[in-house]
Parts: sequence; structure tokens; C-alpha cells
Amino acid sequence: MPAPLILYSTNSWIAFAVSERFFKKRHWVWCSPFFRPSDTHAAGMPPSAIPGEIYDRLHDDVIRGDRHSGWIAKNKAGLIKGAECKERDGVISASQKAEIISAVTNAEVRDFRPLLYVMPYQRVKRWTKEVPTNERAHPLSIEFIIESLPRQTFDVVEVRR
Amino acid sequence: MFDALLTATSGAVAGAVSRALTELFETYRSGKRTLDEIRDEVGHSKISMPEHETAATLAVGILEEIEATKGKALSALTDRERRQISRALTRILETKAAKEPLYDKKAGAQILEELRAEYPPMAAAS
Repeated sequence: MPAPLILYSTNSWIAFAVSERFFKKRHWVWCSPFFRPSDTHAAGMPPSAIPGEIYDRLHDDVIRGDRHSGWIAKNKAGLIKGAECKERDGVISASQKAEIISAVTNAEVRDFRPLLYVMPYQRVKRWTKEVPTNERAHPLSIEFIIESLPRQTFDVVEVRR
Repeated sequence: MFDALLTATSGAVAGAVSRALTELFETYRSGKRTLDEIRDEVGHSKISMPEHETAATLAVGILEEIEATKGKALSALTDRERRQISRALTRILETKAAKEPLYDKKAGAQILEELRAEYPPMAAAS
């Protein structure tokens, strides 16, 4: 496969804000070369690996004010797990981790509204890691992880409001 | 199994909840993914950190508990049942987080207010 032009990632507003304030404007992203893949590629990609699908589902749950959304619960769990890792890595202190967990636990549905990160591949490729097959949402899907993406390397868009 | 969540670290619990929810999405999507397949994948995955291993084990435990409680395969759960499970898992996560040393609900609310003011809505595209 040729190098992608653009990488896309959907994240919640609260994930963005927490990374900006607590993680020195460095962002952990799981991204894909497709916003919404063509039919051919889509066959191998589950919704949880498609930024456009994640965006739609998170957006719909936020609009509905769905307090029991599985997508929001998963996002909340991911943020708490992320705070634990950042403390372990020495990026934040124990009290900062507690601040993050306190904020995330008390966050409202609206705080999980989706944001789309758009990254020119050439600009971020040095930080990209291909997701190992056994950790991908589907063995044939194409996924990348960037563990510490500087804010100045990507654009953030709210597609619908 | 949910008892095991009470003694695990918050990170492991968060990891377990996240993994369990992901598997629930995937079983629903595929309509045929089984608990045995999930067990098999977890058993064969290369996990280097003990906490991640605990999280994966707890996730399988959560899914086993769900199947046993509901008396049906994960892929046969209804949308309503999945929402109930999501609510239960969120509660576990929040209860666990609230027991963290230094956890402060009031401070959390204040930080949220500051973040909302600091990072207002982005430019929209259509």
C-alpha cells in the first residue's frame, strides 16, 4: 500500500482538553488512513476502527444526551487508563492524575462530543506505529497509534454541530 | 468476577471495562463472535505489562459474568441489554475512581469548568 496522504482520528472533546492541559499538548491517538473507507476497504474494518463511524455514533449519543452510551463509557475508561499510564511514565503527578480522574468521572455527556483530528501523514509519520495485528479491531484493517502527537502537527475539526 | 474489580487498580479496571465494551461492540457487529474466540485471543496475545494482563483477564471475567447472568451468548444480547451493561460498567468505573486517593468531586467539577472555558468549540465544517 502506498503511504497515506492523511490520517484521521476521532476523539472526544474532553480527551483533547485533558491532553492539552495535562499532557503538555501531546495527544495519544489511534488513527486510520480512511475517514470512511470505500466499500472495498470497509469490508475489513469494524465500526470501532473507522473514524467516521466513531464520530457519528459519539455525535448521535451526545445529541440524544445518552447517559448510558457504550461509546462514552469506553471513552471514559480510556481516559482513566491513560491518566494511569501518564502517571506511571512520569508525565503527570499523582495529584494531577486524581484531577483528571475527578474531572472525567464528573464529566457530562456534552463533554464527550467528538472532534476529528486531521493529520498530514508526512508530518506525523516519524511518530506513527502500526498497530500489531493482534491488537487491531480487525486483522485486515489499517491502523496506526501515535502515543505523543504534538498539537501543532494536526488540525481539529467539529464536523457537525 | 465483579468482586475482582474491587481489588484491582483503577488502571486495570478501566482497561478491563474498555476491553469488555469493545468486545461487546464487536460481538454485536459480527453477530457470531463467541466468548471462546475472545478467550483464545486474550490467551494468545503478547501482553508485557502485568496491569494490562490483569485488565485482559478481568475483561474476559466480565464477559463470562454477562453471559452467565443473561443466559445467552454475547452476540445475542439486545440493544437494551447492552445499554444496561454499559450503565453497570460505568458505575463500577465511577465507584472505583471515587475511591482513589486524592479524588475530589468538587475539584473535578471546577477543572471541567476551566477546561470548557479554555477550549471552546472548534471551527465547524459541514
